[in-house]
Amino acid sequence: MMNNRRVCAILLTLALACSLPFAALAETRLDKVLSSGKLTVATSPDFAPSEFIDPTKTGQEAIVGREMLLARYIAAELGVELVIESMDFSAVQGAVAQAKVDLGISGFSPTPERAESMELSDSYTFEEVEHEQGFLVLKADIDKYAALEDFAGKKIAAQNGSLQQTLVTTQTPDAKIELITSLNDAVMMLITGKVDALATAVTVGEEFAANYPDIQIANTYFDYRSPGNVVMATKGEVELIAKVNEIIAKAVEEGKMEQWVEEIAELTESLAINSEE
Amino acid sequence: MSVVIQNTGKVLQRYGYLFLDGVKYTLLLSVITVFFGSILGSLLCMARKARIMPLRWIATAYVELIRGTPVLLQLYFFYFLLPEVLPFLDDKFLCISIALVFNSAAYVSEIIRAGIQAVDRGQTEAARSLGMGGGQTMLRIILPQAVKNILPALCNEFVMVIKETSLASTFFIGDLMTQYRVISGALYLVIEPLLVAGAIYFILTFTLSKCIAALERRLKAGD
Repeated sequence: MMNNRRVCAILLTLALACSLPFAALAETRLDKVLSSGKLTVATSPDFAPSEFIDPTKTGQEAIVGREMLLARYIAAELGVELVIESMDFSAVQGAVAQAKVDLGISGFSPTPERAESMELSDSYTFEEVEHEQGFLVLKADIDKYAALEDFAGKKIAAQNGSLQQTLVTTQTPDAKIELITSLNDAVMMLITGKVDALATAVTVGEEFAANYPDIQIANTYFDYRSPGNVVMATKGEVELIAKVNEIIAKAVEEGKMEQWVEEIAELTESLAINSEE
Repeated sequence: MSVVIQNTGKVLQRYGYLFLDGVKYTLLLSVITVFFGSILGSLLCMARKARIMPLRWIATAYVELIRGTPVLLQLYFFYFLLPEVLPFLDDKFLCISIALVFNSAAYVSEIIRAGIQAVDRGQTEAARSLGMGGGQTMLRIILPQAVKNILPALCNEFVMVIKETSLASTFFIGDLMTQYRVISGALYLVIEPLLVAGAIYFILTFTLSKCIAALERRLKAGD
């Protein structure tokens, strides 16, 4: 009896696993997008101003942000309809790798690991800043951190699979890394003293600091020059990525990037709870 | 702390409707899960008692597999693989609902099995010696008594499912926890939307638990 049960369980698992590689192989993804008239993009909309949900809207148009404007631009240039699928940050990478979606746009930085398992587009930046990546710390501790070495032995939170995770492990190797799924959770962990610092993009960290007077961006930053963000596609879909590269170049040339930054800044301003309605 | 209270007020004032929306989805998802989960769970339970051995094995393997893996993992699995296997099921809400139904069914089948087993064996023996057939015994003697054990446990499953649906927020399904993600993601607020969502979850489950306790008392009154 016990043996039979085990065999059944194994067979079921195998059957499900075998259904995996059935994704279309014959035509390229670009052909499929054009013929179906639909471009699906996965994103993790919890990362304003790049991608977030406008609480005053519903459905597809509620998913907004600089990168979502880029996504809409790409779809418009391809002449197809855009379908955005929201999911967890790490699920986005899975969705792209699994070819469940056509593209992944979720504030991805180009890394060698990603380039190995996925097709990456040319990188793009929305605005140049001097200090790109840093730490959020408690205001009371702000003087403790004058250099990266001061983080030795401290607990630093970083989003799983993110650029910050790499930065923490390489530049503050003596610190203890605490992996988290969402930046929001990490802010709470910081305020409640569960971690000593949170590795984050400085622009994002400043937004949090504006809401919570107890936390602040530390005066120490990671040594990092941004290679920008990239659009990701499933490994092997070079035609699709080539087309995306073309469109990104066009957007940059037309000065769309600056325009989108402004547009989203106005939107976030109007949504803040402290703003006038 | 006063900042948090102030912010909570502001969040409620401006975005309170989002939480109402979240409650709708959470309840909808829970009702779907428990309703279809109960139907599928009953079938599973029957399959586990069937005379056809392979049917028994499959049902048992299924229950063991579902109960032995985390819900979150099952959600990922269904979300990514279901549309691959069955392309017409390419809807997020549908995939997640099905995952939750399949999960709940395994637990419901155990609830029903336990409920039936809790009925004294003497009842079956008495019914059979009165000349009732197997099916008749089950339908007329065992099940009416088993329902008394099953119903409160089923309601408890409902309470569990309400909390479990929060995992569906991984895919931004629209439930209460998703609304927390929406607000915290757009406004850089963390604790405030969490407080509100937590309070709502508690109100939902607490009221339900009290109702179940009342129901249990009513059922006991017949003993």
